[in-house]
Amino acid sequence: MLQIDNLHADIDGKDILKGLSLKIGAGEVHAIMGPNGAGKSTLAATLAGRDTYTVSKGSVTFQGKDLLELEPHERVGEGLFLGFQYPVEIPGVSNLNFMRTALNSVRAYRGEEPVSAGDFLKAIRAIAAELKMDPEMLKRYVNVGFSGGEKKRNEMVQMRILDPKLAILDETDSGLDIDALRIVADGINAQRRADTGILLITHYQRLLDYVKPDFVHVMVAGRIVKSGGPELAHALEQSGYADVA
Amino acid sequence: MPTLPETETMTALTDITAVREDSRTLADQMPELGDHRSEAATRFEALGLPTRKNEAWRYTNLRPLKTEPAKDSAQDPGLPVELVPGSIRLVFVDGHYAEDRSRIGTLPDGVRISRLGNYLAANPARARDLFMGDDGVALLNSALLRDGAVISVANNTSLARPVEIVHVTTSARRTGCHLRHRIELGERAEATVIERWVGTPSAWANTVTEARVPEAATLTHLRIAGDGAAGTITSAARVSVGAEATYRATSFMIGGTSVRIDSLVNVLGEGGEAHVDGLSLAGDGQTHDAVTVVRHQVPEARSEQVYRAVGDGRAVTSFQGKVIVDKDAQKIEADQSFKAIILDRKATANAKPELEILADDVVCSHGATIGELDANALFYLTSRGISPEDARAILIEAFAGAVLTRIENDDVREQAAAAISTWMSGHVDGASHA
Repeated sequence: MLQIDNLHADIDGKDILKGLSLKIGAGEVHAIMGPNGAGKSTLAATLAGRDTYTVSKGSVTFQGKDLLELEPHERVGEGLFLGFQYPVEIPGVSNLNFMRTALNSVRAYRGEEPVSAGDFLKAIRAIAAELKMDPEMLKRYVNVGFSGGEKKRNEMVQMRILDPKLAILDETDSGLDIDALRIVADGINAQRRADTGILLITHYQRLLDYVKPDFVHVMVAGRIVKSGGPELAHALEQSGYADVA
Repeated sequence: MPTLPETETMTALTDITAVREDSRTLADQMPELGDHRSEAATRFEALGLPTRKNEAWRYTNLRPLKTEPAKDSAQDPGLPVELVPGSIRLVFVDGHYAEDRSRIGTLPDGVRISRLGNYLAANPARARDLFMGDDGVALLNSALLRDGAVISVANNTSLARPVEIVHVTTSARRTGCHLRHRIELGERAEATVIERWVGTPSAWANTVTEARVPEAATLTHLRIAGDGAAGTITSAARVSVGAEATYRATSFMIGGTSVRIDSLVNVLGEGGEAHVDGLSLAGDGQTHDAVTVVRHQVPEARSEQVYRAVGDGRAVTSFQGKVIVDKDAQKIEADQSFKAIILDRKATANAKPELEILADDVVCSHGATIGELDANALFYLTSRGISPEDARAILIEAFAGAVLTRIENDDVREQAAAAISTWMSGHVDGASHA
C-alpha cells in the first residue's frame, strides 16, 4: 500500500529525514516511536504534502502512484489521511460545512456524486455518536474553543467520515486523559480493516495498549533504526530510546 | 426637472470658476440654499480638494479626478437587484431624481419621504441646519448639491420596508454628482436605509447623509458600492445617536475605482449604541478607504466597529478608525477591530486605529492586524481533500463572515454572502499569489 524508500527531507536546508524506508501493507497497523526531534512529525507532514518540507531524495509510492507528485488534496483523494498533532482552529467555518466540503471534494476527485445534506448529516451524526462527541460540536467553528481531547476526537470524526485507505496519526494520543484515549483508540480500531493501513506516530507506549500494532519501528535522527513486533514497544517502555540509538 | 446647462453637468472638479458658476446655476433649484452654497463655494476656494498631505485623506486617491482624462463611454448601467424584496426605492441618475425608476408606494402613517428640494421649500429654516463641511469634498457637496432624499419617520413609528437610495452615474465625462440625504427619525422610531452606487468609471458620486437617531430609535444603515459600482465614490455619514438609541451601520466596498466611506457618529445619549462595520474586497487597481470617527460625549454608552478588508493585485485598502471618549463620558464600552488580508504581495493594506480617551473609567479595545491567509489553516483544509482554490475561498468567506454575522436582516446577509462568493471566484485562483 505504502512504500517509502530512502526518503530525505529538509526544512530550510536543515536535514530532518535522512534516508527513511518503510513499507506498510493493507490490513497492517504500524507504530513509529522515537524521541523528540527524531523527525516523526516531519515524516507525517511530508507524506501529507506540507510544502514547508522539501524532499531532496528518495521515493514514496502509495497504491502504485508516486505520492510526492501529488498535491496535498489529491493525496487525500487517493485515500491518505493525516491526523494532526495540533489540529488547526478555523474561526468562521463550521465543523459541519468543513467536513461536508471535505467529503464532497474527495468524492469529486474520485468522480463520485456529492452527498446530499440529509445523507451527510445522518452519517456524521452516527460517527459523532460512535466517538461520543456532542453533536452540538459539529455546529461550532472548526476546533475553536475545543479542549485538546475534543480536538483529537474531532480528528477522528474527520478520519471516519473520509474513510481513508491509509491513516497517518501524528501523536493523536498526546494530551488525552484515559477516557478520551479509549474513545480515540476505539475510533482507530473501527478504521482498522483488511483493506486499510494505519500508521501511528507516538511518543508513548500508552496508545498501543488500546490499539495493538502489528509492527513497531524506532525512529532516531531521521531514520528507522529498529523494527519489530509489539514487544519492541514494551522493551522501549522499560529501557527508553537510549539503548536503541 | 429643468435640464441643467452643459457646464454644470461637466463640472470641472477643481476649477473654482466652474464651481461658482455651477453653484449659481443650481441656485434656482433650491433657492433656500443660496447662502449655504455661496459660503461653501468660498470656503472650497480656500481649501480645494483634500490631498494626501491632509491626514484624514492620506489614503484616499482623488488625484485621477483632477488629472486623468475620462476614458469610458457613456452608458446606463441599469439598476441593481433590490436587496430586500418590496423595498422603497429612490433612484438618482447623475444626481437627478428619477421618478420613473423609483418606487415609493403607500407609506404608513407618520412616514414621509420627499426630495430635498421640496422639503426645503416647505421648511426653509432647515436649510440652516445642513452640514456645510469641513473639508473640500463636503464643501463641494454643499456648494453643488443638486438634490437628495429626506426620510422622516415620526415618533413610535416603524418603517418595515427598507428604503433603498440608488445612485446611478451614466456619464462618460468627468462629472461630479453631489447629493445630500437626511434621515430624521422620531423617538422610538425604526427604519432601514440602504445606499447603493452603480455607474461609469469616470464619474464621481459624492454624497453626504445626515441622520438623527433620537431616544430609543433604531436606524440600520447600509452603504454598498457593489460590483456594479465604478469610478470615484465618496460617501460621508454624519449621525447623532440619542439615549437608548441604536445606530447599526455596515458598509460594503466591492466595486469602484476609488471608494471612500466616512462615518462620523456622535453618541449623545446614555444607553446609546453605535455599531459601525464594514467590508472591503479590493481587486487590482482599486482603492478602498473606510474612515470612522465615533465620539462618546456622554457616559454609559457603547460602540463597536468591525472592519475586514481583503486586497488582491495592486489594491489599496485602508481603515482609519478613531474613537473619542470625552472627559465626562465614563463607563463607556468601545471596541474596534480591523483585520486585513492581502492575497497578493503587491496589494497594500493600511490601518490607523486611534483612541482618544479623556475619561478614566472606560473599557476600550482596539486591534488591527494585516496579514496573508493563514498557511496552517490552508494546509489543514487541503489535507482534508479540499482544493487550494476552495480552501482560500472558505477562509476568505470565514474572514468576511465576522462582518456578515452582525447583519440582522436575512435578505441582506444572504445577498452580501453571494456578492462575496462572486468576488472570490475571480480572486482565489492564486495565480497572482506571490
